[in-house]
Amino acid sequence: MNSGTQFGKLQKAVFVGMFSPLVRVLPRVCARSAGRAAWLAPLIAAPAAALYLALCCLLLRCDSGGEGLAESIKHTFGAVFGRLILAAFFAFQVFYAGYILRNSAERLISTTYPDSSVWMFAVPLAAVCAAAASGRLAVLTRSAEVFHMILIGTLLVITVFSLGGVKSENLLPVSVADAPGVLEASAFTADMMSIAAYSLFLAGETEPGRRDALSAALRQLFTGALACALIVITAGSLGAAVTARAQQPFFIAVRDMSILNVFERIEAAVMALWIIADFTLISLVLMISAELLRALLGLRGRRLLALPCSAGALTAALLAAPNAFELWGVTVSVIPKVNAALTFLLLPGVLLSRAAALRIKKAKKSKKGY
Amino acid sequence: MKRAAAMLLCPALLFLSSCRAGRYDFRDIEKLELIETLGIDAAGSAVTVTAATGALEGERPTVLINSAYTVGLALRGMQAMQEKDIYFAHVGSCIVGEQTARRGLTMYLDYIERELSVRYSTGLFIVRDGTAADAVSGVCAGGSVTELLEAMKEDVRMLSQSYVYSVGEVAGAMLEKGCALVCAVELREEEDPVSGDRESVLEPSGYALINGDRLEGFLDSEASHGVNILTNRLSMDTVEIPDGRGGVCALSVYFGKTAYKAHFNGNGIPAVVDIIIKLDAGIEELHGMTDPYDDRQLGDIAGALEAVERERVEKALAAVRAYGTDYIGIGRAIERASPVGFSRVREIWPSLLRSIKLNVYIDTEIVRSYDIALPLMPDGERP
Repeated sequence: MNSGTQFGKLQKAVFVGMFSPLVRVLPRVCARSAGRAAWLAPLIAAPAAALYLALCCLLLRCDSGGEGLAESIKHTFGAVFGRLILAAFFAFQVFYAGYILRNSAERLISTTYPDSSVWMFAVPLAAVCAAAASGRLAVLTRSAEVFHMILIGTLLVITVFSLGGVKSENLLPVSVADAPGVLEASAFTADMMSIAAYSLFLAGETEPGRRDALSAALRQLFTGALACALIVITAGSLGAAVTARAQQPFFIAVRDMSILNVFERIEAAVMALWIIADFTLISLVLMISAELLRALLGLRGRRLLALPCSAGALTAALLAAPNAFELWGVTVSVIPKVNAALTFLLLPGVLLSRAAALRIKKAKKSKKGY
Repeated sequence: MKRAAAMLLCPALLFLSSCRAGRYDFRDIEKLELIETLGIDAAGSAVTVTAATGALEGERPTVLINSAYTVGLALRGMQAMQEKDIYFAHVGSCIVGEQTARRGLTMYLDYIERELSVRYSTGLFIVRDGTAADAVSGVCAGGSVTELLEAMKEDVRMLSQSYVYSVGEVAGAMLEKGCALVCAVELREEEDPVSGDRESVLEPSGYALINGDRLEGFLDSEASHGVNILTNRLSMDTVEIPDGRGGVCALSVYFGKTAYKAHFNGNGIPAVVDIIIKLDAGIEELHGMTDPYDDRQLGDIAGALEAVERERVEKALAAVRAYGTDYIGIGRAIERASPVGFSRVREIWPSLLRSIKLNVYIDTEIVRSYDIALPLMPDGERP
């Protein structure tokens, strides 16, 4: 099973994928909840999300003996209940892949190609992601390293040239009165960042390392810093009120950007570039879906299973919502709630039960040995 | 097999990253009509849109006028008037007629913000006593309205006459403060000093005050100066003042900083707001007998400058009191200094504005002269 990929590289791929929901959702939701103080939300959420992921990693690596999470859920909870748990994760992962697919298409339509239709973008992207998801994890993580450089480089350029337009009065002052809004936005941000925990289903394909938990936690802190930068650029230049009302506030901020008065209207290139974040995230989620399906069906290899998962995701993408307005409803109500239930309740429960079961098993073994 | 799969996937990736050329999105620059200025006028239930291109060397800008029930339809209808493809991605200025602004700006700002090709940073202007169509076509009859407005954006900032707020800034201010400032312009007929021909020009005319989304009134040039001081947008200003000895002194005010301090009463309501203004100036010209090395004489000049600037500031504050609307953002400034105190009155702030006492304190300092220190006259004749 182990493909020789380091766990840290998997987390880097997750980080690249996280660019997509962070840019799409976070500035708008945080500005709506916390107003000018929106930029504080990721700074509060990141340590909590980092601690959560580090604990999950520690629980996962605890006496696992190299067994993947999906497989050990079956062993811990039994064939029927274990499969029910796997089915819950699988259903959400396929729907989530479809949801990102749909959002990616919607972004390209609402910002660059207003006369296009969803399937024009969703079908090719699903095909490309299916091909990537049916390959080895190592290939995707290596690609993510290149994507990581491209996206960070792009973001650095955008940050540098956007800073002139950022107004301090759009971000300050922040007072105690903002606390409820900031906490609401932080909860949403932590919920979104917890998506990284699903990558633990692929941890069985990575080489275990002593500092996995630390590297995952640091990556989450870095994600929080990135989210803060995105909100500062967006809400700092557009203002919290406009950001909360805009469909794609980050890309609107980029639309107004000028590089030394020589390069203008670079938003189409930046938006197109963001497709690589969508590609990475969808491919990872499809890989996780395929791994869950493999464990559900009790098969040996997961690679070909990525194809039916992609077909399911494509169907979900086309049926997720009849229009962009209802898709936003899915974004702010359905996805966070289901994700919170899975990542903050079911996954820790599963990991704790699994760790306890493995401990008991080990204790029994050592007793027999004596 | 892997290579074949990769070759099949490459076109899909290229398609998704928009790196494709074809009828769908390819535009030949030679066949594009780049619109750079938009004018909007309401006419009954319809809207008249005037679009102007920039001007190439020796060419007149193209001006297109069309009416429809919405801005979008009017712009689309322009395509039928042109052989070239009309392209709005380079619109830099948007002008709205006075009567249109009095009816409300929201629907026009909404179009600009929703339209993919037009940027939020597009500068917004309101034509005082006129329509946008007259302003755009009038100026374009003898020159380029686009170039004029682009130059004006820099000029009004440099001369502290007003400031060109963008569509995004105006929309943000309307949403957050319930009011906004917009750069006002006026169409005037002038005689060309070289050719003697009469031509239409647009000149800055202070600020237009937007309350809610409707134009409420205008501030003249002096009051607009005051607004720039109060909003910390003072860039560089030249003030002519009598030196008290029969001469005139020209001062360049190159630094200005305004701070706000609220005094809350026992109920936690700001009863008095101190507006503390610091202005630094240098002597540009001395037409008289003033000796800048004499503290008393220098103090007289500083006092005269203070009187001029106080009048401007009071004029700007009079508009705030008269309309009961915080155009200047006094509330935001107080909030920055005492966020907790202000959070208690944020909702009732507009109603408090008329009753709050605003104390203005101006500290002017003549910091230096340039190159020549003393007036150029014989020593014996100097004071």
